[in-house]
Amino acid sequence: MTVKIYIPRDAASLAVGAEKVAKAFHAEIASRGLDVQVIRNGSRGLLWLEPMVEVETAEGRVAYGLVKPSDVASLLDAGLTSGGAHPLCLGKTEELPFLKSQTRLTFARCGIIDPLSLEDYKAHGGLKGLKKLPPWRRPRLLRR
Amino acid sequence: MNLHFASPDVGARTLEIVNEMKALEGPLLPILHEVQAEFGYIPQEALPVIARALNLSRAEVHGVVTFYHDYRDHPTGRHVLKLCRAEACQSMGGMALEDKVKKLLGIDFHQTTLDGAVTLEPVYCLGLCSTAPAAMLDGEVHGRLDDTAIAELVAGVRL
Ligand code: FES
Repeated sequence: MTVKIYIPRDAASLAVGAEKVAKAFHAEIASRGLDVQVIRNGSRGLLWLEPMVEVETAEGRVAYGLVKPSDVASLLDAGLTSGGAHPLCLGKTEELPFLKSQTRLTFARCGIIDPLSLEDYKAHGGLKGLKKLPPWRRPRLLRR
Repeated sequence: MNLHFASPDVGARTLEIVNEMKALEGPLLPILHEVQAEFGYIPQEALPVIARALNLSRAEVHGVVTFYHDYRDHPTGRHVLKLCRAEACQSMGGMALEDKVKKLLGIDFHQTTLDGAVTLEPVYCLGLCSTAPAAMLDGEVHGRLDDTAIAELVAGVRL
């Protein structure tokens, strides 16, 4: 199954090198022939740990913080794609104290969804409000 | 790459831009952005053209252009380096960084290096306080700058 890796693309992450990290991942993934999809998301908000790379595992997301392009090879060697142990590994994202003690409202989905995927948007409650409209007033997108 | 000198047809090109964009809601700012993207700054000759087309007075357009520091009335170097001087960046060593950059480039704020490579400008918060000290080089943001990182940036633009 395709593994999903999340690398933020918000301004703060870009300012500390997320773009170079993403490039390094793309290059390593291609040269190793891995079945990995890189998704550029919003930051989870732990800006002091950016660039923070996450991987989707069966037990939830696992995070790696302050990732530099030069770390990418060793992260993949350590099995990042299955949440493998590495000095940069922060454990499960949801268990990080900073996130655990928060109730997120406005930013509840930031960093969680793939911003370019309509399916992901729908899976997280997107378009629900529009569906309450009478059929003839719904945008064409929803009439199907 | 932008043209940094106003060509003789500033008026004509400006009018094209205005006509493309005047249907927007609140068209003045986007038009000014586009004019600056085209010429590298906002040439004086562009102002009456914009004013006439939008049915504004020249004074109004002038007022807007001079209110926003992002709009320039003169050409810049090939690169523009904006260094943040606001609170968070100051508290993270921004002043020392500022001295370092000025020494490396041999210029002060609002000046351009003699070789025309870089213009140095101050900016007051880039919204990157969490990764201060921050700078913006040609529209690209850079955070957590230290002496090495800023020296690398400067070396990159002086090639
Ligand atoms: S104070 Fe420098 S980015 Fe906000």
